[in-house]
Amino acid sequence: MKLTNKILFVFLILLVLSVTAYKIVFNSKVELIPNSFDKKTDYIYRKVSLTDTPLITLELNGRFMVHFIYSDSLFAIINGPDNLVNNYVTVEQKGNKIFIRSKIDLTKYFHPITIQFLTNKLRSVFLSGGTVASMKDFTCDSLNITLEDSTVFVSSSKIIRTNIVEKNKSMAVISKTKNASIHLYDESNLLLMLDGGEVSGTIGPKTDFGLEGNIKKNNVNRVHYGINRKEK
Amino acid sequence: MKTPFRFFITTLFLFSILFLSGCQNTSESEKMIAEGNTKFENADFAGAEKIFSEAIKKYPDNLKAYFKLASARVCANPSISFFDELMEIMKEKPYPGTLLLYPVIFQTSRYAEAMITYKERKKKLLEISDEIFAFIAAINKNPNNAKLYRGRGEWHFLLGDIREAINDFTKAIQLDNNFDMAFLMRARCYSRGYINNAEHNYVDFYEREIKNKYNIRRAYQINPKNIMVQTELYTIYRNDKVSQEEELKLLSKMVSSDTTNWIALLNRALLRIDMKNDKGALQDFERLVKKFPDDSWHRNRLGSHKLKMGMIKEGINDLRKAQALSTYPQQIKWIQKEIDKYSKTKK
Repeated sequence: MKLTNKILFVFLILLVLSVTAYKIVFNSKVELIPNSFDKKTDYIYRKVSLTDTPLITLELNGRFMVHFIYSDSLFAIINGPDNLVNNYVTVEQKGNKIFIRSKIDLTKYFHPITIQFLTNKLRSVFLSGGTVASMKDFTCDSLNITLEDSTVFVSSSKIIRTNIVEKNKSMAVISKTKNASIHLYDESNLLLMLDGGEVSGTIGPKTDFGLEGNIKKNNVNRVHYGINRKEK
Repeated sequence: MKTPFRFFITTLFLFSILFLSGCQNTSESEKMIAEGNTKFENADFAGAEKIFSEAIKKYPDNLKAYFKLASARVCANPSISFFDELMEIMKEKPYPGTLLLYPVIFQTSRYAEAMITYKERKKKLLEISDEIFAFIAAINKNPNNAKLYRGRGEWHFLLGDIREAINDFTKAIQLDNNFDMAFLMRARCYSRGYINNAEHNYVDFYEREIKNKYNIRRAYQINPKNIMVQTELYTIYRNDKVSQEEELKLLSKMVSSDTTNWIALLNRALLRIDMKNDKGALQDFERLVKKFPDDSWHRNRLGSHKLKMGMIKEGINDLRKAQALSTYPQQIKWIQKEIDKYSKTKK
């Protein structure tokens, strides 16, 4: 075989291989995840209006940083690098329920996605996927908080009754609530600062629970392998 | 043929004598350490402490014994600060003593360089002794001993393995809900953070801050008299700008828990000035002067405060005393100015 023919042959093979690779990548449903080392500075704001319904349940899944702001207006602002916010964060609203999820693991991205949630109608919060959330100066009669995975939640809001359910390695610091009902599982942590009311519920053997403030009645039981013991 | 053979035998004999004489002390000290280790593994921490102390007295060059003594002490007295204890034990040994301190990494220094410094330090510490293995052996025998998990966590923290340290402190907390030092150390793990910050983003920083506060508050709930916890909580109060009343309450607790804590006393005096409680501030300054009669700065503050309160004569007297005590030319000059200013007012 002549040298020119050899070169032509190699070139043809490379061409066939490149076309095949292109077809595999773009025709398949595999999504190309953005480079985590790409420290993009192009930030975008995505404003999502919320339906004005009396009961609102919020479900968040992902490594977001969330701030709940008490406001008469009703919307969410999602702030973050444009490539992540546009392609990998989904917002869904079904009646009085709102779901915000990330399609990919956000832990390896340097710039965070922050969500500001402006509402005065929040009744139920479900956080998972390592969300870090804070709530300040909120006022409502009752609030249900469910935390999963390694979610962290801090609240300093005047709430008459807070129902807290924690799972996995979640952590919560709840203050200014009058009454509370708690259920802690796995290795979850809760620091509760009561404002003159009662607390009741059960906590698992590996959980950590701290109680302070003005406490009227403490009826929390620690479950020790099937035996209930009253928590001091 | 015979000469090289004789030479070989003689050399071998001499070397074996040298080897045996050199090893005698080592083997004896190692024997003591092994004995201490057995006690440590069986959770007899006081017994282990005694043996390791004796080993240090007899063989002060055996660095391993110093580390082991610190491990035994922290398990025997769970309320003590491991790091302070270790520094106290190592005060006679400047080389590994300085190695125990975290290398100061300035913000301007590059991460790669910082990581090398940390790795080298860890390597050197592990060359002296790997206490983690001693703890693993003890934990295997006593899996429900919270003190052992706390001790191992302390070593992980010292070596910069923060994730492992957090796991150990968490386990200690799960075994003993009222282990204030485990909470304090877990808080420190979050506040000092993971050494390689490059791996973490802003959400991690925020999360760590919350977790640090959580653990400090829990430690304070369990033992409000713990001086180390009080100090950490005070830092949080300052950063969070809590109400002056709350800050004052904590400072008063700090002063009553530890009468030698002059920093808390000084902070309380300054806070009382902010709160327009001049009489209270005066009492604190007087206490400081009583405690440190030869300190020009405390005397200076007392004098200045008296002047502000209108006690001109007493104030000038204190300032004169401060001037006599001071060795700082600028302070002497400043005091003179104040004396001149108020002397004119007096006239």
